[in-house]
Amino acid sequence: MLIQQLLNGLTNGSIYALMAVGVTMVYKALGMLNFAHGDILMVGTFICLTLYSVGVPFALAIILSIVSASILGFALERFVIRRVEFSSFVNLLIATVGVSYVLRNLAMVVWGTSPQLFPNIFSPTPWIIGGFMISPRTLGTIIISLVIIFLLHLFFTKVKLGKCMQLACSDPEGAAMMGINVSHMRFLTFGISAALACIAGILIAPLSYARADMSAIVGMKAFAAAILGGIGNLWGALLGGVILGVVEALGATYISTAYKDAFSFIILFVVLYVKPTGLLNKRVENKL
Amino acid sequence: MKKSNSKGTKIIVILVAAAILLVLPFLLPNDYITQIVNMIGIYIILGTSINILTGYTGQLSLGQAAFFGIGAYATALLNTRLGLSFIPCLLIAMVITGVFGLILAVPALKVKGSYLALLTMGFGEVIRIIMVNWKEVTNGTAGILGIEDASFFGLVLGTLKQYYYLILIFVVAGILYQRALVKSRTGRALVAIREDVDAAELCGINVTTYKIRAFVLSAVYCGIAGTLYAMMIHYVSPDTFVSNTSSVILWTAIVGGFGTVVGPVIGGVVMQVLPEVLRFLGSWRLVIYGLILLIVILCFPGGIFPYAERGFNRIRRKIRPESASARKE
Amino acid sequence: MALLELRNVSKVFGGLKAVDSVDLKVEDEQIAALIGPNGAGKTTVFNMITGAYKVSTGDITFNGENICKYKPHIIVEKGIARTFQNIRLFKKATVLENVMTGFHCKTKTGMLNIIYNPMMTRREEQEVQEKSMEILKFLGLDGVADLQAANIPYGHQRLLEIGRALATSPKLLLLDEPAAGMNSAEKQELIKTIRSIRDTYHLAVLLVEHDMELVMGISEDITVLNYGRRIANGSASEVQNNEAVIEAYLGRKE
Repeated sequence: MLIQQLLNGLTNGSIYALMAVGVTMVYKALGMLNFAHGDILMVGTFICLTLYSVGVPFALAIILSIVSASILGFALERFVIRRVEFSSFVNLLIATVGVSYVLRNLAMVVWGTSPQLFPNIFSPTPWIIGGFMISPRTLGTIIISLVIIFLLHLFFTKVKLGKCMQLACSDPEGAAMMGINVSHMRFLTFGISAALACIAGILIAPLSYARADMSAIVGMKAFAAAILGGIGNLWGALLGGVILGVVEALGATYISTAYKDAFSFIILFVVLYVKPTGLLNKRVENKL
Repeated sequence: MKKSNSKGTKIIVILVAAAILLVLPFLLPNDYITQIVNMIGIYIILGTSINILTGYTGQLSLGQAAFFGIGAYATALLNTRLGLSFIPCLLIAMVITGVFGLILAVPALKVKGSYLALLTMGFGEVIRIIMVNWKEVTNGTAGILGIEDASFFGLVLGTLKQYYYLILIFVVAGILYQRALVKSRTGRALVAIREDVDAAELCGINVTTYKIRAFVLSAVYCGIAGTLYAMMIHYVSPDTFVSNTSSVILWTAIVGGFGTVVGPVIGGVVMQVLPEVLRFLGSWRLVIYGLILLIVILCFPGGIFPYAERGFNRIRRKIRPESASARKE
Repeated sequence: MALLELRNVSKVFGGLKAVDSVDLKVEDEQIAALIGPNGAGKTTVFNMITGAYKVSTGDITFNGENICKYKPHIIVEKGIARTFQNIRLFKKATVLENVMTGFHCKTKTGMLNIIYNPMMTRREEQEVQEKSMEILKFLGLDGVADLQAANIPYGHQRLLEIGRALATSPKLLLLDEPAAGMNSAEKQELIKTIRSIRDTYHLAVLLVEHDMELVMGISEDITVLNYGRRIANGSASEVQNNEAVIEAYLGRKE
């Protein structure tokens, strides 16, 4: 029972980690949270579902939905973020809240408000390994998430484009001086972040259903995981996601299922109160 | 000479506005429209609440709907369970929301920017989750029915027209208090915190207590709005107090002009009338509504009012160039 | 007894000593200066005096009272005001409002007085406004009182910051590089202004400044810091002829 719950927690946690990585990337580039992150995830998930239900092969539907989510991310950067970024921080943040509102209501019109079944990528029959029952979904989700995060890590540390993106986010002026097109890099950051959100959505939807109001809760969990681990930190996002997933699973079993979603927020409050920089980031002294 | 003249105009404008506001309910064709006008009033109060917290103090909140909901639920419970009438309900709801404002302020003091936005949003979600799940008290998603009409001093309100006047009193009082507040020592302290926390501290402002005050005051405004809402609608449910509502409250203050006294008034009207105007769009109306607001924010980053004011001044200068130069002297 | 006295004050940032056992005294109505090459720890000293940084070791006394434990806003109430190296005004507020904000700790209208005691509120408000206008007049800023602080010229913004500090009725005014970005004529003007502030408001001034012209022209007592340590202290001529000071400055030039 406990091990089963831990596995469930790890499964969800690795999905949260995937979302948190996207949140973290945008935070690095922009210095703020993208409050439309959960909505991009939700729209991506629905696009996948729609394509699948009209007869597109599942694999192709997944690829197409990831592509469309990235396009959504690009559009967000190009048409909204770039327009308001110089006016003020509050406006920037409110603009992403606005995008979130539009996407959510759009989803309600196009896909309705009731939860919809989402096809499982993995076969439902569990494997039995050394006396343990383990579902392909659990293993598959964890592996996919870990592989993606590892590949991202390689991309950011080994590939030239990835390094340029890192630099453009952490030191825009320096990057510009070295001839890096900072706005292109940021454009890309939004695209990748959106693609990650979509993958996470496809992984989580078989369990949580595809629903128009999933964005708020799921988005908040992504933020919570990112902040818990230490925002701007790839491994922090992974750690935060896993901790969040496990705490949630255990809390739901041993405390209350109804308040399952509240646990992540309570963790969030505690982290923000005790150490706002997160687990893996250092404290910074405020300089005058 | 000129001064007394402009003062005279001001008094006339105020009198005309007061007259319009007093006879307005009799000009409205039906209850449906009256209800919308009443909701405008409630949203002006909500807009004012976030205007104080975010517009003046610079503390972004995405969880105002929670305070609104706490106020409404407090009133609903006090009325249906304990049979309390309007005034005690209102006072207790104000105290309760104030206490919740204080509770939120404690972690909020530690963070700023998107973290604060997230914290307030999370607070909103937690309150909503409690409303849905604490069934013994809140009756879950079904909500609380059968809230009695507001009554005080032997007066029982029955019609929406009567509620109009009740809400009007609170709207006017709320705006006047906000106006007096922002022009006072407290208001200057709040603006100082918004503009530069360190510099504010070095003016002798205790940033911690003023931030707390802003949170509490803002929550109390929401509590008033919640009580009025619960008494007028006779029904509360968690669906009303979702994050979409928080967004609408935020926009109410922004669309009109953040950090201006009349901003929430303009915002309240725009935010409530626009969806009705867009009703012909059917189910698409909220999408278009959101898009229009997004465009407004993109094109007028400071809200409509500052732009309108600037445009108005420009026109006035063109019409009466001598008055503009006289002002400069 | 000196007005402000730092005894053996140090500040450690993550193992690094930014300020190392510094002693400093400012007498009543004295104009004193704290100078030193870049990174000598001057602003850190300021930040400790105003309470923005906690003192690692040592004592700071003001008017005979140890102020190390106080928060910044309390220290302002005790009578220490400062300006910033990079001007930090309330940009969207008007010039007058900026100064009025400085009167915060000298007034007491609260949120509720507005309702139950509007007469007192109004009276206090009027008083604050008059006093603020006096300060603006003194600084020659009364002409721009109604403009947004962000929209007045740079030199005026510097003066306004001083005006806001004066509004807290300080006994000690800390000026962090007040001459930054000024030409020679403006500096001479600033020297006059600082002197007349001291004479009009009867306060002591402690400057942090790079500009030797200003420092030597105005200071009655100069403390020189280098790498967080005090290397000299005395009058302008004493400091100018001090071996260690010459070395610190010439060493930096090479």
